[in-house]
Amino acid sequence: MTSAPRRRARWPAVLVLVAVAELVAQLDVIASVPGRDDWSRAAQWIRTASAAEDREVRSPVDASPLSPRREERALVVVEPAWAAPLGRLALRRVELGDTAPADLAGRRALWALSIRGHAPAAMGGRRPTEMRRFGRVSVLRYAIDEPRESFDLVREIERAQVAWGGGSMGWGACALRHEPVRGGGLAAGTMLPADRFVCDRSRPWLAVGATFQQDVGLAVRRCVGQTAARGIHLRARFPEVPARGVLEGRFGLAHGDERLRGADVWLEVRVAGRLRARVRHRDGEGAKAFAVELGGDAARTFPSRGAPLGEGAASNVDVAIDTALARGEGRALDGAWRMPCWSASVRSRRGATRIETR
Amino acid sequence: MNGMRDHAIGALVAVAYTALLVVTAPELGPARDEGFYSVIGDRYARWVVRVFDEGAAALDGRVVDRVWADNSEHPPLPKLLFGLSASAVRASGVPMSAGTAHRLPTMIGAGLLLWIVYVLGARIANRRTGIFAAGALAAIPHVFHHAHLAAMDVLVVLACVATTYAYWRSLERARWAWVAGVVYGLALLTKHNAWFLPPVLLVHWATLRAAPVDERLPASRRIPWGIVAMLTLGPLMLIALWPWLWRDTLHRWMEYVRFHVEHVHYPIEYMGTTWFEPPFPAHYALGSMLTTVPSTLLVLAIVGIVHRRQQLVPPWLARLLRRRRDGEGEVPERRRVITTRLVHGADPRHTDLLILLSLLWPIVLLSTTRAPIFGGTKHFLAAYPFLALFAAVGFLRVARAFRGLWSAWRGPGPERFPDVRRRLIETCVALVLLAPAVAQTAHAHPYALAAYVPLVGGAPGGADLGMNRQYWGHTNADVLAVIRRELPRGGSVFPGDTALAAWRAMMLDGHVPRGVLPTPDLASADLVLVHHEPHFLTVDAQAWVAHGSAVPVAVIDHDGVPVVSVYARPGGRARSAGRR
Repeated sequence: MTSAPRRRARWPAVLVLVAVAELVAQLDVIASVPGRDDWSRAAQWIRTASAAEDREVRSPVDASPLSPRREERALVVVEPAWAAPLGRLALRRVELGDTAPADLAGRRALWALSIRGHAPAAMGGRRPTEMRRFGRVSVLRYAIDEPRESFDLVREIERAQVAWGGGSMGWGACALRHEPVRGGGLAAGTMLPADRFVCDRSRPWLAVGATFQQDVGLAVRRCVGQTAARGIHLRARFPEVPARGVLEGRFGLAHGDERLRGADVWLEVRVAGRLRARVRHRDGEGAKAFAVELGGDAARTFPSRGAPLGEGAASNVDVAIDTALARGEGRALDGAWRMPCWSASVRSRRGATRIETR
Repeated sequence: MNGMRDHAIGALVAVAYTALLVVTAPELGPARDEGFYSVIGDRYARWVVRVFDEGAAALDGRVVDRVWADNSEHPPLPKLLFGLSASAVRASGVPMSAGTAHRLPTMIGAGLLLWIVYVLGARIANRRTGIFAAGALAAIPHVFHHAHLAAMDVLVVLACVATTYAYWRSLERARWAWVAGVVYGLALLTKHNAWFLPPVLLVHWATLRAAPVDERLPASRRIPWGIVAMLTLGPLMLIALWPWLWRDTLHRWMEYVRFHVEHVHYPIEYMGTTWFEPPFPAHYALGSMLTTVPSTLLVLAIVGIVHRRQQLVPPWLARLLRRRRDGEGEVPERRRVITTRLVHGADPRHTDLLILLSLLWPIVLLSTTRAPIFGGTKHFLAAYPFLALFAAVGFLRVARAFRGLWSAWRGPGPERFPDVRRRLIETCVALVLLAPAVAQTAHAHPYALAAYVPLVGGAPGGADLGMNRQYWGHTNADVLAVIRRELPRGGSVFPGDTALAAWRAMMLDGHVPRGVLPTPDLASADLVLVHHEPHFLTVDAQAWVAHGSAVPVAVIDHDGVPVVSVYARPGGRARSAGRR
């Protein structure tokens, strides 16, 4: 580096202003961080306001045991998603059923704890019906018009009849037990809960339970983990599903599992004993959607003990969801079983707004 | 004499930076690989002691293999230094934790790196350049972060910069070729990145060689002895000083090569996507640099490069290009003047070009190949010393402009103490220009990997962009306070992304309260740590399932961006376990 030719230009002096501006911007970043108190006050407001709304909309018919449970509730999300741990910490109580739902079906309203001007992507730029600020944290409320949900199979899984077998094996019942939860860690993938259906003591992996799964797109979803095993069908049967509307759902594998490029997984939906949907999941496809119209099955249904959707007497139908591992399709990983996770519910119409919880 | 004074200043800079790193080291929890390297380093160091004690017995092939097979996918020098350092600190009775003692070689290495950068700056321009370049490099948040760790990244940068310096000196004095060879051997013994250094030096040397005969360096220096020494001494040193390669050399060498050619890729978040495998975005290195290197330094570096643009093009190339453009006819007078100036004032070593190539090469390499990116900026950290040198050139330009402004404001006439005035102006300008970087680094520590420049909105802006917040689970400094609060009578912790070896290092140093033990069983742990990276949301979800609740008991954040969540098992020993 030899000495550069002399120049008289003085514009480089402006760079000092760049440095000062960067310093000021740094201070502004620090000053703009929401305090924990802001989060707490905003969360407290949501708790109070949404509880009051829940009391207002609750009707006697909702209290019946087979009525749509918890439908028409509000959902609370945190925006942006990366701030979710701080939001959950401030909310103090978040039910698992309200954590990472697949979509907005059956939700009356959406509340968002928001910072930095973020709005829920699911609202697609709509204006909130209510907005309050608590320091640097905003509370946004959106009234939404989502398909009404009459039966969430994930929420109802503990009432399901779970069996394993198929083909010449016959069917054996899987019992709902409270078993120790073990393991964990990134490599463990989807973890089944303590309260789960256990089918065969010698094969503890053959099990079903409500859990969460992070799919190949890294979105987390509340779902039912149901083993797909080679040569064995595992069936979760819901005998009294409201037979009106559409059964809509998604299923996939944990992102770590999908990257292993293992055998394909089948999911079958039977309505009143009749195969209505058969979806094959290949690794890399991510969560796959399925939908079954239930209206045409009314003839094969039986009278409901409850009154779904509060619209008078209706019929219920038997819905079964089977999982299995594709035969002879093993690729890099040729294990005996895999753990797909599905979510499904019956709703008044198709097209519920999806939520990507990341 | 001047050279000695330069080295004295360089040594002072090195000692000051090392001391700062030592003081701030305890705030930075041990990172994942540090745990492994420290344990293995201790083993290597014990073997060295054994060689002195037992002689031939310790050199028995089976003994050597047993010791050096561990972590043989990486060369031994850094780990050996970590182990020897810990051993020496222990023996000397210096009050220093084992963790810091293991890290000491890297911290000293970072100091040495500043020393070399200072001397390089002082040699190629002046001391002000050197001081500013060293200060700029020291104050880059990610450099400051990596300068603490008992890992190979800063040490290999040191070795590569030292080799480049020695090569540069060898262009003028042939005896420096030996130094280049030896230092390059140490670089190869540090990390495989060193293998990528010769190409850039060869390209540089090719530009020297392509010059017309009358513009070349003296005949004795027409052979790149520095590179020749590197390519001969380097590999020989690698084999001679890496006991793992003493037996079955070819096979083990191939294993080493294969490991890195087929290196697994770990996920890392960048621009809203978690990248699991190649092809990675070509703008990864550039994007990461723009969002993590203080913007003032980047602008200064650009100003420095623009200011030196004429020196960046070899004179023969500039002349050739102009001839092509202007045709074979008469060269316009203005162009002839420029060409004459270029040739007349040209640096026969093409130093500016060497620095620019050294700055760009790591970035180009990462942007155009399937090289891993899982370690973020550490993969192209070797570019930063050269970036700092150009930033220092930019600083000189700004300082000169201010001197001009001062003179214009003051008007003509004699001035008292002109040197004092010049130094005062330069010092003030330097302090202002370095202030943003220093402020960002001071504020970011120990969460430097989660920190992003104010230009993109700081850490929250980085999170909005979907940028990585951490890897290697080192962000446990504030978690330890939560653990002390939650488990006063002991209990178990699922350590998340912190490797058990790193956790053990924290225990040995007394950071983890007695009776608090790590467990790989998330479900039974009293506390579960989740170091937030998008793909670890799986672990969050496992904690929700295991505990029946999605509410953490504590969230550690940096500028409002969650870094670690802590969950407590209901019914467990944590104080908050029963409260939810």
